[in-house]
Amino acid sequence: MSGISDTERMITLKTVEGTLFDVKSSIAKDLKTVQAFIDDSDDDVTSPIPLPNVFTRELSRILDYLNNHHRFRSGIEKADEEMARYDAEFAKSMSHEELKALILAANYLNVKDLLEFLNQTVADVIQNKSVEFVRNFFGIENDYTPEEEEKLRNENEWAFNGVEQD
Amino acid sequence: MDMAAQHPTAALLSCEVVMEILSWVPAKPLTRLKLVCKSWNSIISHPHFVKLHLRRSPKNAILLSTRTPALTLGEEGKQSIVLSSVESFIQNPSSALDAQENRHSLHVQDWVSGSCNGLVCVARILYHPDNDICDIWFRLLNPLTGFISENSPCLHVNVHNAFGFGYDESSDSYKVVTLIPDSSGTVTAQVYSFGGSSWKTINSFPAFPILAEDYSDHFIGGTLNWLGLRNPHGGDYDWAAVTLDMLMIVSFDLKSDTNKQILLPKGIDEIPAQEPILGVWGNRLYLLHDYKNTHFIAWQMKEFGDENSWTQLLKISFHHLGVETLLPEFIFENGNIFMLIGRGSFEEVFYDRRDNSVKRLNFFSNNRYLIAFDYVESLVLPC
Repeated sequence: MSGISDTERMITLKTVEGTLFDVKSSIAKDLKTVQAFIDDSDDDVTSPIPLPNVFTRELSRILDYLNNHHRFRSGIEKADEEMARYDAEFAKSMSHEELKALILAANYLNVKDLLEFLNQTVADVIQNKSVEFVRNFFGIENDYTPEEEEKLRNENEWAFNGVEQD
Repeated sequence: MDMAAQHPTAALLSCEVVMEILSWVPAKPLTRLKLVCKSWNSIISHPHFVKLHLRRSPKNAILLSTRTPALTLGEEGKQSIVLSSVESFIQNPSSALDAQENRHSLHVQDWVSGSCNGLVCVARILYHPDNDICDIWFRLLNPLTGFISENSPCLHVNVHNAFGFGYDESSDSYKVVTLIPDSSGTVTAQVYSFGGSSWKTINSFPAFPILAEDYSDHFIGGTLNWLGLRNPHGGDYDWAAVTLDMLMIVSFDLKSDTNKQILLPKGIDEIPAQEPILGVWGNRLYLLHDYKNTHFIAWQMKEFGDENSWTQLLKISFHHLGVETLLPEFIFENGNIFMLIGRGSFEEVFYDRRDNSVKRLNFFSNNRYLIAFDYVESLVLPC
């Protein structure tokens, strides 16, 4: 194996469902959790690395994102525009549930850039929605009494100016 | 096997992830989200989160404008702070300034002395014309949330002074510094840290500040910066008698309350005909001066603190610009667009360095200048 350079080495990842993904080591570097595992292993990792918290659907999307971003970054001009278009399509292609599931996976795998992009995407979704919508989105129970809610609303009146009540 | 049921669709995102998401939400909708639940209210109100949110808030995107205030009571009296997007201001300054939303009233004798981290420092100045003394006190306000701080203790000083507002990260405090020259030309700096009870006196500030048209921001990199003269031979200097070696830039460090000198650009080899202007726009330090009273020269310090990084951005004739004096009102887009006062002080000039274009507009009718600062939205609550 001594003649093969680092960037050509393949790493195998195994999802919850048992699906195997062969990933170039240059891409695996962006999965910081995986990279840490590799760095911590004394010998070369040959058997598939199990990812007990990651489902096939999410890993597939993450690798798709990383592969495309690596391609865009590898030096063609106008890549910024193409990348923005890809990102927009990528965000649009998911339901809210899929978006949340992807954030969980990206968080576990510690994929920094993707995570930042997903966080901004969710921020865009929730900023113009009602409080009730946001509660449902995040699966949160309202723990305010009606009086507490009214008080909080009054204290922050400036933020509600010109916005209809839920 | 049906794996869908095991998918974490109902899983709650962790507090850490929620914080990251919320840090990208603009201040106004973010505040509404305090109503989601009590723990979100705690997160959004927490100073640590507010700082993270501030870091994410778009920079150089909003302009805070006001006008030079009325000098005496009884003069036509309304004054306000207007917040507008830089984009809409450049496209149509008149309509941006006339907008009725995002408008905050000020008293006719208020001066905006700076803006930092979403807070605005306002000076109230009561001038006593018979003895050239004025009473000044400062307050902070957050125009977004409506927060107004307590007033600083009052300063009772000669009317010829300079002030600057900034933030000291090491102590997480907001400070205003006033430079007060006396008749012999000795300058004292007074520093007030909001939340405190008194002004701190720093003796022997090394330069007599150039006071002409001091409307710009002085704060950059934790320091306040002024252009001044060493050894001005008394308090009332005559610009015609000033020599180049007298000109210096003093940088006052808000962490240590000490000052040091910043060298002028090496390319300045003669004293300008008019008093130059030092200011901070878009988080860059600029030195603007004339050349033989015929040309306008702009220097930008590309890396603040590195004196070798002074770069001449432009040298252009007053004639081409349609201006008579050196009065910049704002610099946009990292030194690409300059906004200046034109002839007769009624005309505004926008000069774009990229295509050498000059746009002239008339939108002030009463000889008052635009005072403008970079502004960023934040939920910061000082002290």
